[in-house]
Amino acid sequence: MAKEIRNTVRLGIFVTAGVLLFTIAVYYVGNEQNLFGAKFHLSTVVNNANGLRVGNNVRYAGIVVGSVDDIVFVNDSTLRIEMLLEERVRDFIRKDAVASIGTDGLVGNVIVNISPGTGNQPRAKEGEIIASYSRLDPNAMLETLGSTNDNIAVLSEKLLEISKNLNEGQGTLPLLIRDADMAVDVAQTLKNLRQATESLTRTSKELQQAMGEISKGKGTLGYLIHDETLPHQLENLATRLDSLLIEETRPVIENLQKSSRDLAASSAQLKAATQALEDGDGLATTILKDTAAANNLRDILGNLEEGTARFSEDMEALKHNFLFKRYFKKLEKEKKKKD
Amino acid sequence: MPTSLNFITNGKAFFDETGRISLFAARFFREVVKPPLEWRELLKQCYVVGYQSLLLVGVTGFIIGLVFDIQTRPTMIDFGAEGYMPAMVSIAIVREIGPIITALICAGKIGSSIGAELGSMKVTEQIDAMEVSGTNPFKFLVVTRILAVTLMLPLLVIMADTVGLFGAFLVENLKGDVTFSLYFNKVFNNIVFGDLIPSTLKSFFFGFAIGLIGCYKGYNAEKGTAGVGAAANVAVVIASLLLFVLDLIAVLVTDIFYDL
Repeated sequence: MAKEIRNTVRLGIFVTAGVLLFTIAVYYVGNEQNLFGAKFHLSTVVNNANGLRVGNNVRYAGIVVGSVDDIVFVNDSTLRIEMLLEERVRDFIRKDAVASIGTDGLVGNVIVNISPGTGNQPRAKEGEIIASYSRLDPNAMLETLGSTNDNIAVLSEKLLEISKNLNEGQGTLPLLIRDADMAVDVAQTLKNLRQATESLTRTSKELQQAMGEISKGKGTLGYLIHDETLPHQLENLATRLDSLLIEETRPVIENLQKSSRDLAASSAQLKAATQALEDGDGLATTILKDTAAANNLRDILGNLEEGTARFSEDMEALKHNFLFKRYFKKLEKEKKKKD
Repeated sequence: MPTSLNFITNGKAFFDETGRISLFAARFFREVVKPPLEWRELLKQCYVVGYQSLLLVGVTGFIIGLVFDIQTRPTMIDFGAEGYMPAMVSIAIVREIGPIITALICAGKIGSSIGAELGSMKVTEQIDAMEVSGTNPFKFLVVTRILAVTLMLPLLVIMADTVGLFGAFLVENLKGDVTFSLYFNKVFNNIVFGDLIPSTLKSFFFGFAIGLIGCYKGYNAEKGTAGVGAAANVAVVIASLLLFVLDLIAVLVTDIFYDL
């Protein structure tokens, strides 16, 4: 009988231990799924759940604070993810907190990450819908990584080529590296550049100072910019100039108009004279139109010139003649006296 | 009645055996709801099945957890997923390894024990003597044993899971410097009710199958002492086979309800 009781006690201990272990396991698993303790709901709306399932963890600032309670279709392209969160984080989640779907590591479970808001917003209420943003899924990341790898391959190939050229001394860069004169020139250029920069800085300061004075209304430019009476003065001046110009230019314009009329009359007379010359039969018309008459006239003029020359010779001969010599001397004396 | 394993390859014998086992199970359900229940014998059988199997199940579970972690750890390290070891080991042990290994051990230890015990009682006509004395041998021998195995196996599975997880923790702690709190945080962070409840429920069915087959084979043993050995042997083989069939069904059903 004693043995039977002992066995029963052992059995009782065994059963109790088994049930206790099972209860502990249920408690911890339930605790992880937020079945116990105070909790509240939050929702977010996404276009792609990225494999998220009910029961997946929800993290706030990297700490597991809840789980996904439900995933509901809002329409054909929108899903609402309902989350069950621990009450203790309620004070920290603000209205501008942002939810995103990510993974626990590269190959881990899909989770919802809630990023803290700015802190200026009021805290999120029960059932509040917070904003969400889409993150790159692993496939997209791998695609990007693939194209990046291609680019790196091209870059490394080019880099290899550049290195080769550098080693062989081709191009400008090896020249810069190896040529001592070039280095001195570059140093000098840099020095000049530094000086230019300093000068530019000084100028900039002066300009800044000048701008400051201008902004205070100092100097001519400052006066021009800031004096409020100047526009009115300029307007008055313009009005006066306008009236003055009109008064001063009126006689000139009238004279010009008169001259223009005289010129027109002269032009008409000239035109009439030209027409008369063209149509008439006087000496001028004959000379202009009749070539033979013109030649005759030219001959006459030639003969006249020749006759005049000969007459001059005769007169010169007369000056030297003893009969008229005295007379010409007398004329010269009178002329000199007169001058 | 077949006492060998020929019925597995013989279609007619297979259905004949299946029908007899079903009738035996139906008789169990009729008798179990009919009071009075043999409580003292039930407690005794619970002690034998549960408590006396604890050491064997515990040692096996511990070694399984330890070996499983040692074997899978290098592969996980190759994938850079060392941090997922607690999650992987816990899910594997809780979902499958714990229940099936414990059930197989119990099929070997308890199934054969029940088969041999009842078989020897049968061939020595003790069961007939009980009937003559006015005691219901089915209720006293079969119902108590099947109930005991059905009730004790889930507890043994929980023990085996716990010890197995500790075995795995030992490896993680020694090789990966994982602390106790971190290990069990990760374990419970990854185990969900979809892992825990189905595995516990199927343990009841495993226990029922082991008890049923052991009792059936022992209760119907024939041909003297040779028949006792055959009953014990066939009980273990059929129970083991049935465990895998039940496990398959359990996984399929769990997949429907929990979307694994």
